[in-house]
Amino acid sequence: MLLSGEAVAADYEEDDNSRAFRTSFPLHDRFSMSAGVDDVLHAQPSFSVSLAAHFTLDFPEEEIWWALRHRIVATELRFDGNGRASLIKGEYLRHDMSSFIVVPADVDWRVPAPFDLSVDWRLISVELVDSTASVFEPIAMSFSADFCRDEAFRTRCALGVNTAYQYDFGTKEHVITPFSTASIRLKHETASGRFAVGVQADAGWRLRTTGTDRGWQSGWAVTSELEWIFLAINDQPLSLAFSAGRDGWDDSYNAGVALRVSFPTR
Amino acid sequence: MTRKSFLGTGLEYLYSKSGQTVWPLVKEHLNRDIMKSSLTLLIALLVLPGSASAADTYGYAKDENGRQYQTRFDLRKRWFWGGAASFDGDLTANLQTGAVYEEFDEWENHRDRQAFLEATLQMSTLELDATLYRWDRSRRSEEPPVWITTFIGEPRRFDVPLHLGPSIVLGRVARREFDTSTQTRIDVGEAGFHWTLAQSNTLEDFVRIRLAAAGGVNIRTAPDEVYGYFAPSASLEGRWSPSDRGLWEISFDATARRGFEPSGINWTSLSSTLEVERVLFAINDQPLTVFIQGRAEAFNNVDDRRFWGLAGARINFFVPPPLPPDQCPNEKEDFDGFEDDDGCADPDNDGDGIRDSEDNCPFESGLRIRHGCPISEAPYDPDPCVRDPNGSRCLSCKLDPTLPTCPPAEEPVAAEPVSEEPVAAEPPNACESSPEGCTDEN
Repeated sequence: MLLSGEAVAADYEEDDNSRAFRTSFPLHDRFSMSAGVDDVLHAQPSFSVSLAAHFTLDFPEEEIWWALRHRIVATELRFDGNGRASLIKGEYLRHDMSSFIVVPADVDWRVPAPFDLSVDWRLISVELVDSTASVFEPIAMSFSADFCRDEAFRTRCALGVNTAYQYDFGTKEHVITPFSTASIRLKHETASGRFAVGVQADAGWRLRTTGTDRGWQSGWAVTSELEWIFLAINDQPLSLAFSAGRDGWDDSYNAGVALRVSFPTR
Repeated sequence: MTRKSFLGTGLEYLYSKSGQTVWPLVKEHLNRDIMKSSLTLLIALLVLPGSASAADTYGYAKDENGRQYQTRFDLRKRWFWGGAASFDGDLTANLQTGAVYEEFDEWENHRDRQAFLEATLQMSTLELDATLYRWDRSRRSEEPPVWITTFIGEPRRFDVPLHLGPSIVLGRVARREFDTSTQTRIDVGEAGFHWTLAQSNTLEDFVRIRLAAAGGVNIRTAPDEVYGYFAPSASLEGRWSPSDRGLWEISFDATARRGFEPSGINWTSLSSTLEVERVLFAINDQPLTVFIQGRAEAFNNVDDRRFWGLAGARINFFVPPPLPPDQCPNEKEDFDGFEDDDGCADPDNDGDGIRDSEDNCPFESGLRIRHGCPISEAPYDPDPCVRDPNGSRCLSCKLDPTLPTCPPAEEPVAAEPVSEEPVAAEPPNACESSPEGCTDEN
């Protein structure tokens, strides 16, 4: 197991005066703080601040490579009292050098598998809505097959199924997703880490156990985010982060822009 | 550049001037404490200079008759007396005195500037500007404290010179006469910091912005009033020595202050000064300078503007030559007693190919087999321990007397033919020529 190592010389450039400066940044190994505006498409936008600690564990085995990305205490607080926080968000990516899954038998079966595998998960999340109601989500997981198969894990084209459990303290509803929604994740980040864009779409059915909407409920949601590092002060990157989303289950939408300062940890 | 304290430099200078042997002893027993440094300057000011004895040193020259004289002057270290003609509509006389001392510490990358008992007296109106003591420190850093990289287009780096330093002023007095009254403003103390926008490598030349706050007492007559005040200020200051011989000094400052008094009287004071000074000649190596100065001031409010023009001369005492230029501006002097004035690190003083940190005789060329010492020294002892004849217990050991047992003795090397040449010149097949073959040292 390797913690993602120190910054390397390749992360730096020198100008004509031999002054070095960093030009590559680890998007998944940093402490980030953002300040911006949410609900820019609404009549009353709200200022928000957010923070997160990102760290990655790498397992560069001979045939199978793992990248275990984490975001700890990913928190967003809005000045109107709303907000959301997750204790930990994980993105576990597995890259296989071969294109087969071997099933042990007298003669091993080699099942063609031209994809990588990944697991995305959230542990203990809370969402405050209108300062009073809150939604508690102990766990959410998504199992995906990644067809881009990027060994550097910079590009993802993943199709997967999701499972989750939520409890709404406001309506006292249980919301269960027993692998009943599908998702598609498209993400790309440049080798320098200065530009990253991602889109995720989910669609399917969720089960509500109580309330007026009791029963299976179909719906969909799309979220997207973009981050662009345009400046660095003392090699600490400053970026613009854009986000936009549409939630068909709640019939809500959101768009925001924030200025993000990051402190790379390697 | 030499890493010497204000104290050390002052004493060395006095020593070089006086030729007295007492100064090294004094120097040995005093440390770098700044108050003691100040005391030393005062001592220096009380001692008349002797004849110059710094033969062949930087800043001095000899004529065809072998007579030596000083040709370079560090006007940032001096005690001066001056007189000038002052014109502000009326022609009056102006007297000045003061002592300044600046010291650049290359090791710590800062320059301390001190001034003592500065005073300027306008004779006709008895207007006075005086400062008991002031000090400030400028810093430089190898790496700029702030740099910005832009990623719009090709990545580019921009350095931000954010050099901050502290400053204090103690006992500053300004006395002015007006048509029907006089006013004396006494800053008991002022503290602030400055942001140097541009500075030379040794921090001698600079342009900076200084922000400070002072507390003091305002004494007015007609009517008689005494009020305390609090006065924040902002200044733009600059000094420039355009001549590498230290013959020119250009300085300017512009200050805006706002005073707040409990009486409810608030005032705004503006002042600016521009001065150009030139060494004209030297008497007994004490330079005489001439200067011109322009001053503008609004003492209590902007409408109360006055302008002066001054032209005069100063006789300056105890002005040493400046330090020789740093021959290696990109590396630090190692201050090991060997050529410490050139600004260059000397990792191998004696040039024997053995780094000083591993060289027992760093000032004498020697052999690696003798740990850097020459062969004429006491012969190398392969077993530095005196052993108990009945056992291996150490009776005494030069290496470490506390050792319970002696370390094993090294193979004798005395019989081995040893080249007189330094290690770098040792023949590659030295082992073959040894009758005992190679030892570990080979």
